[in-house]
Amino acid sequence: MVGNALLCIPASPLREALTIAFTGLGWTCHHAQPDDDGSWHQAIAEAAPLRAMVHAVPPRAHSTFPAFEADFERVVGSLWRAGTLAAPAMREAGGGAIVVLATAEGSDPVAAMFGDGLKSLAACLGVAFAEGPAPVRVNALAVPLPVLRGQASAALLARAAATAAFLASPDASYITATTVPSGC
Amino acid sequence: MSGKQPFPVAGKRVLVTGGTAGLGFAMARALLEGGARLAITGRDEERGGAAERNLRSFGDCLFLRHDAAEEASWAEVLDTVRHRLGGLDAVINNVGVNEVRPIALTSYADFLRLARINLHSAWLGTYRGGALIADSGGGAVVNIGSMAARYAHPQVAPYCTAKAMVAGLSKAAARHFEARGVRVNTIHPGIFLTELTERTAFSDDAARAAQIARIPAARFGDPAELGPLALFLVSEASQGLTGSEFVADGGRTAW
Repeated sequence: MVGNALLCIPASPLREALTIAFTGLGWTCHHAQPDDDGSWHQAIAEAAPLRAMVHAVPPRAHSTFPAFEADFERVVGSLWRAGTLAAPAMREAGGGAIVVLATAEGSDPVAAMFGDGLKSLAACLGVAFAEGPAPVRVNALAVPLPVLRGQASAALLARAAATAAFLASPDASYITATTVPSGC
Repeated sequence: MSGKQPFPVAGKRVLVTGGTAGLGFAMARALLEGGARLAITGRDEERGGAAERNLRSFGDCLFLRHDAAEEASWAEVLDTVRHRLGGLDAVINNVGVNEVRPIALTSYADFLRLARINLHSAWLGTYRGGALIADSGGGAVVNIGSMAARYAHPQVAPYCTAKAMVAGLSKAAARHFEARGVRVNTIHPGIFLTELTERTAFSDDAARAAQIARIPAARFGDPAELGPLALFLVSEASQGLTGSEFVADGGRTAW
């Protein structure tokens, strides 16, 4: 069930690794920028029929409340906006999968806090869209912060990308609403 | 409370957000009975005044009008606390709102509004309140999470997301404040019988029975049962604990 995949990821070596992993399995990759407020309708429409989406938005370092607020919208808010639009679109397309890369526990504690929110929201979306003839599976993939920022080695990025591609594939058909380790 | 207190809080200056009702009120009462000096906050002045009058029968309590999701409001409240109480030893970030609605009917504006009340308020209380506690000689921040942080429920997805981040916030802040003598911990309450849960958790008697059937303790929590845990985390008895999570749910999330 490969087809069109939307990668909601800032340009980085991680995006390149994901693009290589998904393209290698036959997916056609489209790109959306998490910072492009309000562009989700357009990005999802352009990727129709949508079968997969990967969300990977690293939190930034911040020490002020306005910076925290902005990062919440960019990291967690973007998953809400993209996920709530992409999941119904995938249902219309016959089902699909969303993979959310979230900072693993034990990383930078602020990044881990954002990871907690992403994992929880991914699980909620997974439960919401699990039933029916065209289910949309939603899972989180726990990765270290350097992977999410695209600053890890090429080997680690490739490993995370391969796991994300597995989660998006029909081979993971009974895995939803959970957090999967990346092995990174 | 009578006899020797296992978790002494006498004389401690404590701020409880959302302390005018529900779990906040119950924790405020327990702290006052233990001899703490309290400031409770809330957005509704009339309700706050009534709660203050009620709580004064248990000890020294002051109500302050406060929008806990607004940074400017925190500056005003903490300034008042500094002047009226002479400093701060603990803050309990208890503000929370839940709305039961499917994801498909929840707008992004709703998502952000609920995040501001449930998470951003705790961020401000933890870092702004924690800074005043550090300046006052150290103490404790207690963030009120939820058992919703530990499972996925698409009818309350913004609440689950925000409360999951509250636990992470406590861990991040625990590390931030570790050298300044401020401990930061999270309590995850299950279903306690409060106005909030009466409004959001039970659509009818069958729903209530179904909820109880999933609780090993076979009953909902009484808000008064959260008081001793709050006292423990505010007191020096919990000195070795920071960045920890305490689940008080009658076993609901254990299986």
